[in-house]
Amino acid sequence: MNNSTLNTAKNKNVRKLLQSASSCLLGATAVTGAQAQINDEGWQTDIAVLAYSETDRVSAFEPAIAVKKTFDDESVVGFKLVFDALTGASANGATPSDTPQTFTRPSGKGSYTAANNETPLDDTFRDTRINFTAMYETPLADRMDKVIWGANVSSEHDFISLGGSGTFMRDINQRNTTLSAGFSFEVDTIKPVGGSPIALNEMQVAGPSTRGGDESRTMVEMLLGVTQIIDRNTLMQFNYGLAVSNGYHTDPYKIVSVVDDNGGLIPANGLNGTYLYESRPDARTKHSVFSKVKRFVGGDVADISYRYMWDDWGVASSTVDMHYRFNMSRGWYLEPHVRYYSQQAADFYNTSITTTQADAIVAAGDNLTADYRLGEMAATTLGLKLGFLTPGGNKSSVRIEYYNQTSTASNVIGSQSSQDLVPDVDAVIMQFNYSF
Amino acid sequence: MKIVVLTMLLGSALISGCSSLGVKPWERDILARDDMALENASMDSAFDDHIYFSKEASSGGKGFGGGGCGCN
Repeated sequence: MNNSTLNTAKNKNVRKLLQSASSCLLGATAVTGAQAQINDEGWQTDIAVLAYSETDRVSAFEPAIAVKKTFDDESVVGFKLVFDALTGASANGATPSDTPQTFTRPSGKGSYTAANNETPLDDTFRDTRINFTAMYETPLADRMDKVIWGANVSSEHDFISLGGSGTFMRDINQRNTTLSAGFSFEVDTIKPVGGSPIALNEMQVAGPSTRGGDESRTMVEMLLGVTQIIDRNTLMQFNYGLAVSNGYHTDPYKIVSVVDDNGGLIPANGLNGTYLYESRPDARTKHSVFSKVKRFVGGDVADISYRYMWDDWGVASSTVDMHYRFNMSRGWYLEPHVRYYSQQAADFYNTSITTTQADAIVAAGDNLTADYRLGEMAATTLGLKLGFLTPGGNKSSVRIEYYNQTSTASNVIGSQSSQDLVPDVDAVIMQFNYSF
Repeated sequence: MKIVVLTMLLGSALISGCSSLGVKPWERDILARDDMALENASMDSAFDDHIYFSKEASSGGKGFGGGGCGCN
């Protein structure tokens, strides 16, 4: 065996290692016994850089690095570090109007203005995030079972998250079926800029106002999975997930417009409109079912998945995700990607409300949001990825994707019908990967 | 609770039904390919999960849905 053959063989092993461990890094993705057990002495490194850019809104730059090592006893250790830099403007929830609107910044120390007929965007959106993940996978006595442990720390200037997970996996039916059961927990601390606003209070003109302190939230999740080899060319996965969270779920930077019966602004509190800070329930229970089919088709690979998610906020969503990998010569491939997502609105979503509705909601202490992410929405992603081997034989790829969100307003009042209340959001995603 | 019971029943049915499916150890050549791994682009998936978690009201499904992110 010459050097180049040895290198190729090593690169192949290294690539398989990377798949296995980085899958685990990301959570409980079931891996079937069909995948080869690989031993390797070295550390495998995977780097990636992502650029995300919305038209006129948020931009993000995210470099990431993952390393892992598989030991002779088939145990695997992996670490991943992600850095996130976000800048730009984010919709604050208020509706556009035919007259300019002024809003107080979250800090309470200044204001920003939305021109007439323009979606109000908070241009102070700026954040950096560091996320560190560690995983340890260990086979149990008969090597038909294994356990994957994970730990996660994430920090932003107004948010800290600590989490852990454990997933048990068992191969049965001559390793044709893999069962998995995983649990995770997460503890989040939210430290809103300027303090947490009092839910359903009216926004005041810039200056001192009554605010709360830090907030917290906990989440416990369970994930049950079955992965089945169907035949020599086909794999199938089925998961059920349950997530229960308690604590502060409100977005402290989102508000809701209160307008008169004709859809006009109501000047108040030194501002030329009336805006309530949003309020979300202090608990959420989410369920999801997920199924994936992977099939080898004459040298190419089709990957199709479907997820249905529903919760006790009234949100229900469907997601279809399809990849088709055209394998070409010398390790090159081309992979188109299509994703379609649709969701129905949370029960407490209103694009805006009248004073009568506001009075009733405030009196009852009900929940209220105008965050379009909790409204009725459809989203489409179209992408293309090109994979190739570097002259040194290492795996590399680039991808570009286009993402579009189209939302539907609810509770449209009077003259608001002439406004584009929830305009489309368009984003371009570009990513580069390199493994060595 | 009904959903959990229903899922367990469905899961049991799947498992018993699955016992007749599968391949022999020497028929795993294609399934062992890199591109046939259930998750063969984990960096892409992690980035995507984070984007969609930040922009939509849903998360999780194929893995845990917690995001370690203040964006939603």
